[in-house]
Amino acid sequence: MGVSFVISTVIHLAVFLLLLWWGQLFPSTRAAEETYYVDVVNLPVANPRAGSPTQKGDNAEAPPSPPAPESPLSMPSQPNTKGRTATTGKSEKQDTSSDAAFAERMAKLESKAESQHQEATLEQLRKKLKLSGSGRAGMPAGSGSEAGSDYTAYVQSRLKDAFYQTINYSSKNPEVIVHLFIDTDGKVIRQKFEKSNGDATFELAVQRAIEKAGDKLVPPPNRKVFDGLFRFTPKSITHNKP
Amino acid sequence: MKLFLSLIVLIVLPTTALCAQAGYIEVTAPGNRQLKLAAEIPHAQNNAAANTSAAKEMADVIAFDMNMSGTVTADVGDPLPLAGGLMFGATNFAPWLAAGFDLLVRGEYSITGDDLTVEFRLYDVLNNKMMTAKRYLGKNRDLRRFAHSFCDEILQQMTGGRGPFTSHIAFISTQYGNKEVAIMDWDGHNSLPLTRNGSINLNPDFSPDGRELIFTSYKRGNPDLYKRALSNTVEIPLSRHKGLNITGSWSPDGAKIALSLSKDGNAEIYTIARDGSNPQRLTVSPAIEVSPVWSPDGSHIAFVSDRLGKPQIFVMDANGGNVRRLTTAGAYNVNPRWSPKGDRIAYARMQGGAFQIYVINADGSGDTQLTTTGSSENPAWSPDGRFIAFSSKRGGPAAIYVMRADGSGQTRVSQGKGNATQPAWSSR
Repeated sequence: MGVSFVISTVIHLAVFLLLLWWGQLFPSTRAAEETYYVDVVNLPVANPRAGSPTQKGDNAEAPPSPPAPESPLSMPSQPNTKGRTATTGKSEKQDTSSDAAFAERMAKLESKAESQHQEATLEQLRKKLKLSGSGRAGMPAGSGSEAGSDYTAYVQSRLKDAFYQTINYSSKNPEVIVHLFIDTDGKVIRQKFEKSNGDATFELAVQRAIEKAGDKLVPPPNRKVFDGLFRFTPKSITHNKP
Repeated sequence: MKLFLSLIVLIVLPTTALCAQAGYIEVTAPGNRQLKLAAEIPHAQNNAAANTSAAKEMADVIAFDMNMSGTVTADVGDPLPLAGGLMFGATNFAPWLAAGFDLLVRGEYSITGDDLTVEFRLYDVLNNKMMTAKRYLGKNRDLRRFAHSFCDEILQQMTGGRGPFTSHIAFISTQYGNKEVAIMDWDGHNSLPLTRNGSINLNPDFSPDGRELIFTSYKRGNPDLYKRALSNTVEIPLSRHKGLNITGSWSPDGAKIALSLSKDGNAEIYTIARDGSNPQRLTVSPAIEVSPVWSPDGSHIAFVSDRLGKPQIFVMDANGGNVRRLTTAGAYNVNPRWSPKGDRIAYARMQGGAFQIYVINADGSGDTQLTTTGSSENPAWSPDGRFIAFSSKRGGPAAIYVMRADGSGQTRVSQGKGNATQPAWSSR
């Protein structure tokens, strides 16, 4: 028992010493990894003495030109080197004759990386549009187009503004559907009450709203008579093209 | 799992599509808004002699009627310049709009001796537009009636139904003697006694055309039913049976009168022809049955019976069949009155030693208390169903009050001395 314990202790001690010696014999050659960060609270400024990066003024000193890249191995897609706090930890041999060629190569590399990044972003947008299926930009439920808000939305907005001033009803769930016709000059030439719950007070409120809104309408686009079905309710006005 | 998901998709997708209603644009809008009406004091026409008190009275009448209607908030406005008169002058709406008014009533009057000419116009201030206009020709005493009549027009414009403002209320008053039948405008003005017999007169009820009145009178000792026209003083006995001849009620077509007779012992519901002939018994019960009232279509009669021990309101067919109990709450329910639309019945319930006005749907649902102050009884609907008149004792003599059908706006309208009770509202 005592002999076995001594032998085991000796073997373990020998292995430990061997490992210790091996580490000194072959030191690690791995370079320390660079650490990048961006301080989102205190955004980096070009010149700390100039205050906020958005600050402009006569007293602000001109920011110094950005320093040259420290290392040719820095990743192009990483944030600006101004935010880099760790160094490569490895000194590079400076060759003044090859500085110009090196800078040119770096510029080319950065330009190439930037164009690749833009292309990837565009490709992502194309895929997104394909998935949405509408082929239109903007919010999924939006009624506008790339050309801007349509005339229907404009009329609906005018009616809504006027309806705010006239709304009055005496039944529980008043509802009126009106077919509006607007001529090429922007005048309401006809209004047909298609449906009503019979609340005359509410009908009057709708009629007054149409009259009020009809005062200031701009002509429909393309000089065509506009017609649309508008549903008036106390909580909302909804529209559906006939 | 796939099958389950497919089912979910099949169920949810069509529903979502329906709810979304592609193409609709939902916009949030505010809720109900109380419109403001300005009743401008009318202008004297063509520089005629101004009667500022008459002009002010017309504006006051319009403001009172429209405020009571509950459709607008009305204020009397001092007159603004009206160069050229209503006909040729242009109204500057800017000051009214700036003051927050949505509607404006402008008027112009001329008084020549006893002749009165009034023109009223209703404007939509927001749209600078005239909505309606009326000209009235009459005597000076018609001044309030003209203003009431124009308020009927305003309500017609705003709600699609004419107002009741030119109607009258008959009631029992102790101001002119014992208990006389009197009549007044709906707002309590122009009160006049109809009977002058110095006896006890009860339960007035207008004929459907508003030209005749029936009532019970003790003037010959027995409570008999009489009829008289508003245009003369002749009181025609309609029912003079031994015992009670009380609580008469005209049928909607004016051909019959339902009443309570006790000629066979206890009080039962009968109908008689408009001339008092052809009495027909509708109820057969050892209990007391009184206060019959017709539904607006004449197909049913509501009445009070204590056949279950305490007075309750029952409904039966107009021929006396199919009797059913209407009120199930309260121990003492009386004075039923059917609304002009036929959907509700107002009545009085005794609770805590005082009566209060209730309203209940014709099917017995929706029993709702309308009054809480004093002791209120004998409800009577206005011809358009917008108001209920009732008699109430609130710390003084009993008076006639008017409220909206939802119980709001309770306002005393009778102005004379003594007690004013048992109102009956005329047709327009």
